[in-house]
Amino acid sequence: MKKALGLTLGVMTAIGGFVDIGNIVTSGITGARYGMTLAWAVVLGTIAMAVFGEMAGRVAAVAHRPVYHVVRERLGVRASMLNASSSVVLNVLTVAAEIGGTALVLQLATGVPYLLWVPLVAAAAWLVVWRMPFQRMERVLGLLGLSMLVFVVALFWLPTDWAALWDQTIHPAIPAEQAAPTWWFYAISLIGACLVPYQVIFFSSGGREEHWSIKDLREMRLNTFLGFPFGGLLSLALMAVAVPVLRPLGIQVNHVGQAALPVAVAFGGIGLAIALFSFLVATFAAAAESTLSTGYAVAQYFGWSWGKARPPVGAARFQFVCLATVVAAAGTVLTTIDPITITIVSVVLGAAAIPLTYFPVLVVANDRRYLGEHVNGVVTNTLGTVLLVVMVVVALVTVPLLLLTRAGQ
Amino acid sequence: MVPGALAVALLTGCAGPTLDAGSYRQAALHTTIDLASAVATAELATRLELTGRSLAPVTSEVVSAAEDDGSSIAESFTSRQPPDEDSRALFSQLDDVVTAATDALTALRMALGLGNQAGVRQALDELQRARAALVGWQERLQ
Repeated sequence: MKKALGLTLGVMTAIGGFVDIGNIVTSGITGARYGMTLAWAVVLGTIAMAVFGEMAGRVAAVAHRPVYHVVRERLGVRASMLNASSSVVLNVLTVAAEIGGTALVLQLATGVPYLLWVPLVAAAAWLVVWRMPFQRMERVLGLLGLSMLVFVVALFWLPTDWAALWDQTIHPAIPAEQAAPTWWFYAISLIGACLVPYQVIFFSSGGREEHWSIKDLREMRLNTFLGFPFGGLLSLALMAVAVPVLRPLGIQVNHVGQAALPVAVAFGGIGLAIALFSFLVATFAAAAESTLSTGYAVAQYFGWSWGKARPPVGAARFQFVCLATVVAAAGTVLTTIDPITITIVSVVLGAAAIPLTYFPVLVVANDRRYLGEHVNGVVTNTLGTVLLVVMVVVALVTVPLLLLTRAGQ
Repeated sequence: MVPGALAVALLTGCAGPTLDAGSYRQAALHTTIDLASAVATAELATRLELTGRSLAPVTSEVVSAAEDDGSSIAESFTSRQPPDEDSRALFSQLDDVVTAATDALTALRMALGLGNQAGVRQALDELQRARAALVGWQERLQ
């Protein structure tokens, strides 16, 4: 039982990272529009996240410091400034998207306009960040997030054509009626949604919050190699349930509510309630996670004391950054910009900034001064380098595709 | 810089200018696809509700969102200037289908709000006809 609970950091990172509002939207859109032909993008993003998450976790466990603390020291103040500032901008956008997403789910469940929920959701996210102990937060949100398994079960309950799903998955061709640039746009959106920068910051800083050391490397690896693929599985399930229900009807997913309808087809009102609850947990967990990640990134860059283990007065600047992030994000949503638009912009900009986040991780994970005998091996380096090249290509084509396809229209 | 440029691109990318008959036809095709999606969403949510497989607030929200989407799609369609007589004729024919679909979405939302079962079923029938017409147009325009 204790070992299972030890996996909750990976599960929470996966629930709040992979299956946040960005993935709920992009998986729903792509499943309804392209079937499983873009499943490879989720698989690729998941592998990349697991490989780089393991490196970041290893740095945290061996060097006893979160990865971006080491990055600043290793790459210097100026070079790491680019990394830290891009992370902060993206995180604030992500927090806005998640708060907006949580508020949209509450609107769906209650009929009360989402803008009225925004201040309450923001306050609740900040309270969790400020007051709730780290381990309790990860366990409660991680375990509640397991409710998202309803999408996996629904897939077995629905009249799913498994042969067709599998065929689309292993033969990823652009459907004849769809434009190639838009298909590629959603491919990079899915990769971006899997590799959102805050995940790696949260995971490595969470490792320090839990005082990981070399003896915890096994637990850390279980978290990365079970937790992240679990998130990838949920992401694929969200995509797959749209195929037998929404795709035959020509439904294109524009709203969170549409993404939950397949579960209602499978299990009725109870299933729908569980699906909405799982969306609520996933988006709220992501709001808390990305808020904390902003605080971690800024505090680690400037060398301030940080962490939920410390009383707020002992990490006042860290807590202030978290509060300012929540306020700025809630303010962004309250301008009435559609949260789904914020989500797509944050996911796509995140994709463009992926190398800024992950290249320093690869550098630090190869530095013997920090990791000694635990530096990357040949396999990890080969895999990491290939994945980094893919990330650079993704980053280069992201903005042109965004403009060319008018954000996937 | 980049986020600013993106915001402008996204905001101005809602309904680009129609340059020629080909792109007008393409825009008409997208109108039928998007509107058929909104109609199918409302139909699915309502049928789930009628069979006791949904939650009332969710149905109401999903149908309202579909109605908003439908209105927005119809507005974009009517705001485009047909570039020639053939396009003008296309507009005239398609406009009836678009109006029928958006009217049916509004009727459905109202009937659901009033708890009018007969009105809901009538609106569903109208939506089904509108969707069949939209799908027919998709095949003609593709």
